[in-house]
Amino acid sequence: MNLFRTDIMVALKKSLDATLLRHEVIANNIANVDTPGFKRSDVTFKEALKLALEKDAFKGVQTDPRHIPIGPSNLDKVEPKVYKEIDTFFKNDKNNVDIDVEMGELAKNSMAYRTLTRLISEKYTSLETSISGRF
Amino acid sequence: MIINPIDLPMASMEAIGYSSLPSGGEVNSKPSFKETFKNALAKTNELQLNADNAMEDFVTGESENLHELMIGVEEAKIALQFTVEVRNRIMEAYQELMRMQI
Repeated sequence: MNLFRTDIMVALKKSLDATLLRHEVIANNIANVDTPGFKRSDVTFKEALKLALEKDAFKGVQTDPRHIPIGPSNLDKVEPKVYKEIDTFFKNDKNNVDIDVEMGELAKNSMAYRTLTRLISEKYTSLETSISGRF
Repeated sequence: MIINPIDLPMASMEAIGYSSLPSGGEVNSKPSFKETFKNALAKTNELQLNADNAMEDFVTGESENLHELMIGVEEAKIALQFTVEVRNRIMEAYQELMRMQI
């Protein structure tokens, strides 16, 4: 048993990583709002995390490191992925960044980050409380 | 004005197992201290697990309901602090009893 590696703690840490990455990606989109031909990027993470957190998911057993993994990956192997939206365009120069959408996503992302930091700090505080018997 | 009845000390003596009727055959139907404490611990644990589930729903995007999440987390936190404080008081009381001259 590991105190800091429970499923929920790992999920929170991974989500923080993903949120940070998403911030960079959105900032990059905003910076390139006037670049001709630029296509916006985004991050997918929640779906992969959801699959990894499922307890009764169909999963292949690996008895050898060379085996091909079947089913959702382990929780500590879930990584956020950056993808490019190539099939849309918003302006005549083939750029597909809508500044209003990006600003909205940025605000949403910032709030998610603040909430996640708060949640993880609550987890550590409750550990501290349980250990010391004081608060 | 309502004045507390004087039989209160007797009631608390009964609570710690002293019976004024030593020959009485009646069965004490009140839940024992052990049971009460066990239930309280289970409830605290349940609140923690609920908070964890709410967090899981939030990070997987299943629920966007931030206030429910925060209320759950806060309730779990307060339940834990309450449990810890009750434990501290019980330990204090025990130590006080152990120091008592007989």
